[in-house]
Amino acid sequence: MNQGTEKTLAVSQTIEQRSDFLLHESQQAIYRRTDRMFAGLMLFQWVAAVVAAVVISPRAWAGTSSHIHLHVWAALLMGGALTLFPVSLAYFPPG
Amino acid sequence: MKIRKESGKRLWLVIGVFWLVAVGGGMVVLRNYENTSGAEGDPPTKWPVQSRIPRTTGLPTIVVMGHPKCPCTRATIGELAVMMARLHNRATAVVVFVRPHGTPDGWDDTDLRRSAAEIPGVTVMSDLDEVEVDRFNADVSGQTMLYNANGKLLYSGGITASRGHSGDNDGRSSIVSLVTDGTAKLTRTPVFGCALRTPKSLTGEKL
Repeated sequence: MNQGTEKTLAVSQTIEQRSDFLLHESQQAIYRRTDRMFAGLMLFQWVAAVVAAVVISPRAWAGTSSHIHLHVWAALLMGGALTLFPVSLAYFPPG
Repeated sequence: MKIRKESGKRLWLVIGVFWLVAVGGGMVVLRNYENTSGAEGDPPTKWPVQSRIPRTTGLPTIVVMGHPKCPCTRATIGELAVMMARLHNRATAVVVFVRPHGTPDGWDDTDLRRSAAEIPGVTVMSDLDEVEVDRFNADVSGQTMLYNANGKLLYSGGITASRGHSGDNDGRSSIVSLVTDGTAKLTRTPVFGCALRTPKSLTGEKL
């Protein structure tokens, strides 16, 4: 192999590595953006669930006495539990 | 650097396991809540003569006991609407909304009551001081009873499959079947809804 061919090979390898790097970077950027978008949607869904619970079934009744309906607590706490873990995953180790 | 990344992954895995357990536990609690019925009512087998609930001569009467503010009862009213459409003038229905002693005028004038009043063939009335609720031995909002034209009790129970859930259910199909064919597989089903009476521990009455 002459010197010219070796140089061409080295250049093509560098281009390949660089293109792999750029592709990976671009993919990661898309993954991060998608993760953050879904994290936002999850948070919106949580807020919407709490609002729906408060509007539709705010209180459970027994005669004249009432207390906050289980649906409200479920929307707040269960919805929070369901939301926060995936949202944390999307924000802290995104992509 | 690699060790740090590995321990980070492990931490997320541990958090993930706790998350799954917490969410699974929450789902179980919610499922139990939805499927736990209230106290079964024990309505009289013959129509109580003192009752002020209106009846139409010659037709079976469906009586629904409801709490005007119970969110779960919305599903019962929805099922009643479906049932009345299927029965089409072969029965009349009365929704009795409880109005406990000491509550102000308009306490039971709720969206739920208005929804019930809009159903064709359904009469809505207030039960001041829980007189009819006591007469029919009902405990839970959504308690539905079917009396035939002679005043004989044919069915007692709920017309939703679980708490606040709309859709096909044994109670509704039993009533439709009893009115149209005179027979049904079930004559009692569980009732899901809010308690009609204030707990005695809160009213100051002796338990």
